[in-house]
Amino acid sequence: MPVSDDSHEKFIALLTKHERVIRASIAAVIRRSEDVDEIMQNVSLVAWRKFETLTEPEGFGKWACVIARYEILSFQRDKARDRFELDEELIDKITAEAASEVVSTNRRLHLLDHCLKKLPDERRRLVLQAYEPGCKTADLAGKLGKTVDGLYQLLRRIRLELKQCVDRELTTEPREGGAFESA
Amino acid sequence: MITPDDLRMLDEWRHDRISETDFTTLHARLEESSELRAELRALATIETGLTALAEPGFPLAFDDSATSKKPLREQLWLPWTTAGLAAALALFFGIKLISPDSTVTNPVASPSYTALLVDEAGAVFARHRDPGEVGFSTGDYELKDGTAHLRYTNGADLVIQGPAKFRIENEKHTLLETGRVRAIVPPPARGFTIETPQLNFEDVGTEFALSVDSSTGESGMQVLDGQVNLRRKGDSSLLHEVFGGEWIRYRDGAGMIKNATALDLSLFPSPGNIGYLRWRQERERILADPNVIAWFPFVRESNQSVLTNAQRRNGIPDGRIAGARWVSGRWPGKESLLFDRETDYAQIEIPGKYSELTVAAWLKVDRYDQEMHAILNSNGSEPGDMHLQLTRHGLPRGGIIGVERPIYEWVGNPVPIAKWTHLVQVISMPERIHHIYVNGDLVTKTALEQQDSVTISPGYCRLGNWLKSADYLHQSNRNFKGRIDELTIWNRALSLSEINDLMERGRPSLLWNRENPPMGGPLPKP
Repeated sequence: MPVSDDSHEKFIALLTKHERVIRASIAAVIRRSEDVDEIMQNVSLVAWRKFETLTEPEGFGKWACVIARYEILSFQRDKARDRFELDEELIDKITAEAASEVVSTNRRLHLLDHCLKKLPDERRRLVLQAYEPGCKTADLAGKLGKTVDGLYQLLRRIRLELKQCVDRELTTEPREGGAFESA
Repeated sequence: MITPDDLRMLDEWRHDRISETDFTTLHARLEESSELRAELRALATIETGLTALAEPGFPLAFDDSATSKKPLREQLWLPWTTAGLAAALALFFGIKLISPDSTVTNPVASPSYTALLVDEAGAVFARHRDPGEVGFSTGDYELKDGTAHLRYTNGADLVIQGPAKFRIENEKHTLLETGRVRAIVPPPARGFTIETPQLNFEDVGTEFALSVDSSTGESGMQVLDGQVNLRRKGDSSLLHEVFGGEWIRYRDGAGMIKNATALDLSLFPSPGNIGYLRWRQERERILADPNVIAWFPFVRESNQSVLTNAQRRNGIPDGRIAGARWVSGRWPGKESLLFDRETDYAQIEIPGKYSELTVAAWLKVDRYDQEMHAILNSNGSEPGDMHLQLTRHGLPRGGIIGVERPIYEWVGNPVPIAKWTHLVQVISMPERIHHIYVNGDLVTKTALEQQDSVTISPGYCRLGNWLKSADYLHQSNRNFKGRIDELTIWNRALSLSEINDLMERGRPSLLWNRENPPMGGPLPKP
């Protein structure tokens, strides 16, 4: 694919469309959001440099997830290990699996909106507040009159509820014809 | 198959709360279970989605103006952002004065609490209460187990012993259906009334114990101090006045029981007892931790010169107390050692060699009046000996003899005077770190140089003092001035989340504020 204004626009459109899926595949093995941001930035740069080698725009998500897989491993090698880090082999396994389920990850992200709406107002507000950029759990706990541990347990329950809701919706929603995991 | 434990570990790992043991288990489970790996990716997807949805200006897919995000944020909470329960309490008592807009109706944002949970020990409430929730609005509650200390907006304290069922009607009136409570009522709350199925107990100052038996319905009340008026339900007519030291028992049909026995007051904990109860419940958990090599709970034995190590399995002997005196600790009933004179100390021995070590202590400083104050220092100065001490500014210093420190700096606030404080020293030779945390915040940051020939070997140590070797005889004394009431030692490096968890479990009360004031001037160099 030639690098031109046109391809630049196409790249931006594809990256924007798939960014959350790529991020999700990184976040499965990288816990610090700052690290996820950094890897995502590297993935974007590498993907742009290699964009002309991509023959099927439909496969952008999977292609970018494969790039992410190598960027994660490279990032981890350069970085001082922390004691609770997954080892390379496991990271490789998880990210390889993530690259093969881009469509279902996209569906999950879409269904999350729906499941979030089904939460009681109070819980929906709380969880969105907790995930706002820069939100610190201790500060939020103080605001809400909860202990840090109590807030963590509550958020954990909400995450689990959302995940279960998304699982349910995934099994009941009609499948679109032609959807395939390599999209 | 995915177990609830798998899910717990997964979430704890993602949120940096996992223990080392659990992480090892989780890693092995992830390697073997594709189902668990899929669960991890699904969870990461949910959180990635939530992060995107919570971005300011991100349009929610559903169009619901009542829940659109901008108004939500504008509605959320008053401008009080100080962390911790102390701030919540400040708000609790001040909210009526500072609330800028009483029309805001956000169920999360504008609590109209009648009481707050200020402390608890093993408290388990029935449904409708989230763990860690501290606000109590008017309504029905069931404390299934444990002890809870509630403070009402008017200042009245109620210590409830589970199992108990009660309803908060308003700040001056609570219905006790069954259970045991102790009420402490200050002058502004005069008239604070606890209603039982038979009677109203109106406090006219200052402290009483009350029980309602779930099987017989019998009410028993004993006035500990001051006066309580018994009023008939309905017309509120005065039935009886009960004064300090007196008690009554009342049963439907039988009325006031003659020659009734006094209440067993040991079943009615006071506010000060709760932290101690909570701490005692930790005993089993601490002793079950395979990495705890020594736990000195500071319990006075019949031989008062013995400092008992309750963790018996590692061969670390009891300590020997010299000079330091037994005084009160973090809570009534909890003991501590007071170190004050130059000759006060407790000698302990930590035999063996370690690549990692964590030392945690609860202490309360009386004063800083010399260059250095030893908390736990090895005797002598052989390679591998360990120091943990406080400077005259209250800043923690520590080191391993024979290991250089290319990075050694203070990055946090000192240990204050006259406040129970949690001090934790974490040393890891493989990771080349030696950090000291004060109330869960990193204060002394140290990188160790690669030094394969030295391992941590504290050996004989003095708690609250330092036995100088010949090389250091010219140096001034380093005796600590204050109290220590718990010392725990692990043979591994605890993570920050574990340190915070430890601090939370041992906090003197829920009102205790972990924040410490900064130094008056710039932080010095170690």
